[in-house]
Amino acid sequence: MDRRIKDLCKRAKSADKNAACELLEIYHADIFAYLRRLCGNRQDAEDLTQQTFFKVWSSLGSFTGRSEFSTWLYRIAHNTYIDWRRGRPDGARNYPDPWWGECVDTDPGPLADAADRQMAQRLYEAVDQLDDDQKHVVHLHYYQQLSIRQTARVLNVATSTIKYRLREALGILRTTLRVGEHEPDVARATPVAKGETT
Amino acid sequence: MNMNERIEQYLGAAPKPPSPVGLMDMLRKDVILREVGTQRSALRRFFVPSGERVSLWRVAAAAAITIAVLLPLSYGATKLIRRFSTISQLPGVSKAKFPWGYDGAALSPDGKHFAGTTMSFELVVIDTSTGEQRKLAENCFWGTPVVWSADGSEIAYLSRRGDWHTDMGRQPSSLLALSFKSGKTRILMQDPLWPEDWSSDGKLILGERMSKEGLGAAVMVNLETKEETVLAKEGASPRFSPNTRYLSHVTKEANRSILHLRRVDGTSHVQYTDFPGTIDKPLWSPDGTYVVFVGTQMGIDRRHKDLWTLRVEGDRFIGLPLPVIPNVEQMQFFNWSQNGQLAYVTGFQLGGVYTLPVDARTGKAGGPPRQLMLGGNQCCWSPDGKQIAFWQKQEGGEGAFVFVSASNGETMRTLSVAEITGVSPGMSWSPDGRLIACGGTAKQKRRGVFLITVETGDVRLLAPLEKAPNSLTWSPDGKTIAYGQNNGVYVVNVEDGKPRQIASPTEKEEIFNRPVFVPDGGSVAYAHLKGPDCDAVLATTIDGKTTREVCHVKDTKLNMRVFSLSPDGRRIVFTPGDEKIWCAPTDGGEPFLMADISELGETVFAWAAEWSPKGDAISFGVGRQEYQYWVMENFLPVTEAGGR
Repeated sequence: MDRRIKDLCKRAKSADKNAACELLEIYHADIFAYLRRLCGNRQDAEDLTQQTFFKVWSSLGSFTGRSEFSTWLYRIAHNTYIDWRRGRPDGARNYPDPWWGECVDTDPGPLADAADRQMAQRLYEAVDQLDDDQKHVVHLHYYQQLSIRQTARVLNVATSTIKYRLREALGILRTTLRVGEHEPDVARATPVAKGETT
Repeated sequence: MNMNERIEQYLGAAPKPPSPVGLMDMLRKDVILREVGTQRSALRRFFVPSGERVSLWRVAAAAAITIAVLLPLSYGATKLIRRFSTISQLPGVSKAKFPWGYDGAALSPDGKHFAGTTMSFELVVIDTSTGEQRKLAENCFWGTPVVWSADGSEIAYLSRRGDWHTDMGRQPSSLLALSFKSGKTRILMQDPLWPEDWSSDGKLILGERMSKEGLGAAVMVNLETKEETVLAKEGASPRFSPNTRYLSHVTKEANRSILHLRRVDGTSHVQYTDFPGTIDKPLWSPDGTYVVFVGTQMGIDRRHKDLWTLRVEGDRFIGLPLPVIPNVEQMQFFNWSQNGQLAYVTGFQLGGVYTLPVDARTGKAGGPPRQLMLGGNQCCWSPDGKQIAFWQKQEGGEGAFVFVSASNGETMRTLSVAEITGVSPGMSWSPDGRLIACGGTAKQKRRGVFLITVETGDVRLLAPLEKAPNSLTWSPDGKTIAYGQNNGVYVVNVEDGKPRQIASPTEKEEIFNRPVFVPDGGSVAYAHLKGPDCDAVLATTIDGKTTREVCHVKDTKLNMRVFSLSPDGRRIVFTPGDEKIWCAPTDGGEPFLMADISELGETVFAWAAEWSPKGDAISFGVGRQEYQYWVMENFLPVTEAGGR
């Protein structure tokens, strides 16, 4: 674990509010983004972020430092989200707003091209349609940039399981994109008979 | 950059939803900390209980514990590490086209070969170190278990009679033993069962036999005397212990799994009944001291599948089962070779239903294939061509028809049909749009031709039959339904529900399969198979009196066994079982390639194409499988009280 984070945790455990606020400063945006993407709306994401950090402060004493602080934090956020979903009247399903619509594109990076952005949005929609197991892995590993090992710790499963779910998710996403990708390019994708030329 | 890398790049570059203004302030206010007492480390507390001096007594006690407990434990840890270092993939085996990772393949006793049946009805054996693949026999029954003799000199397999599209493929003709060296076969049984295990002396076979009620009874057959012992009316996975003195199998009673341990001579029988979940596929360890099984238990919000082990000593179970490998939900275990390798397959199958626009005048593809839905199984077009109905098992296990828009795949409604428990391949929507006819099984194990009211989901058993029929098709006037069963073609009058056979094969290897009404309604077309191949589609009048040839292809590799007739009767579309979809004119013209779907993935195959009612599109299923075959070294501790 990063020495600075370790030090902040230690100080927060000794009731140093400044240290706790520094930890907040470092992590709150990531946790909010994680929950916002998962729970599908801004208001619930705020509530869940609040609940997550409330649990963090109240159980900081049990954090022994065996795992990274961020992994522990994500695990709490993940469990908070799961509890929230169980308590929802519409049961296991959720209907997310497109979170990417709220994002200001200051540094589009590899998605600078409009077609790329469109494809990326289709991909985000497809991620929302994945099974829960696959979805959580995609959110943590790709959106939150956690390593496979960290993702496995957050979800409390083996790293092999994470790899398997990632491969499965990528397969589904690939199929979804590939099919969509063919739509505009009719000439290229139209199957022709053996021996014929286009 | 390949597709996966692009997807990963897009996901990695996903924008971050900004945290709302004021959230940080709110969170700051919530920070309520209480001091957590600084604690000395556990070791320090142990060795320095007073906080001042090291306790020599405690140091001595720690040394004693280290010698007596920790060193033996570390030996176990070494075993554990070694276990994971000796898991290895069988890349040569992974390349073979085994069907759907079915659990019927088997590793040879010495672990050097892997035998299984392919989708081309061949028995193949693969060298596990070089990947070299050798065909040992043809015309075998794919997807059925193969079993090695204890000395590895022979392989027992089911020879095939019939085609898997008929009667779900369960028509084996005999159980054969093939000599691995000479390639010669001998008949083990004429009326074969589904083989699971073969005793070390070669005299006994364990397996499952399907009863008329559709239950797989666990049976043991003496190959010399032909004496058959029923171990359980509804059982699974019977296996001999390595010394063939004992056997194990599983039964299910009142949602509970019972693991049985019997002496082969019938003198003792014990049961383990306390496992809090389901027991599947028990396998004996090579030294006969453990039974290892896949245990499934319900967790808080999901099922957990782990590999468990239970000690066996003689005719007793010892102690309680212990989990040995967690999270095996993606693994299917085959068998344990005598040299200690546990073979398994891991991977997945994906697929879906696609549509392809077709020029109704030429029969050629008019655009790219489009995915309607992921998964999906049996489907049929509505008579107006606007909807496609799928049969699906819902999460709770109940069956339902899902109606999707044929133009965009959007789900229009779901019709729960709890009464029906299974649907066989090939269902059909009535011309007036009111009913869907399907062959299948309903509650109370009723089988036959069912009519489902599209509006309400009411179920009517039109014609009760011993086995579920397949490939149902309505006549254009809606008065008759044709279906396939027992290698023949039948029609049933919708008013009186009385079935009548109109085409019955005469030769032993002949099959009439997949009937489709021709547009005039006077006759029924069907595939004529000789062996696994089909080069002709015939049509017989519904009075059964006259038969004519509708289509013939010269190249028998263009297998027409799964076909659909266009609404104008001028063409048939067929899927030989690879990535290509073919179309053949019924006027004797040359068949042509309608579509090649290899762009959808490396291991895709198309199947069961169906014309839309207007002939301007076809629907077809796409399957894709990615499997890897692995072996694991025997990870169980060696015990002296072996069962060998």
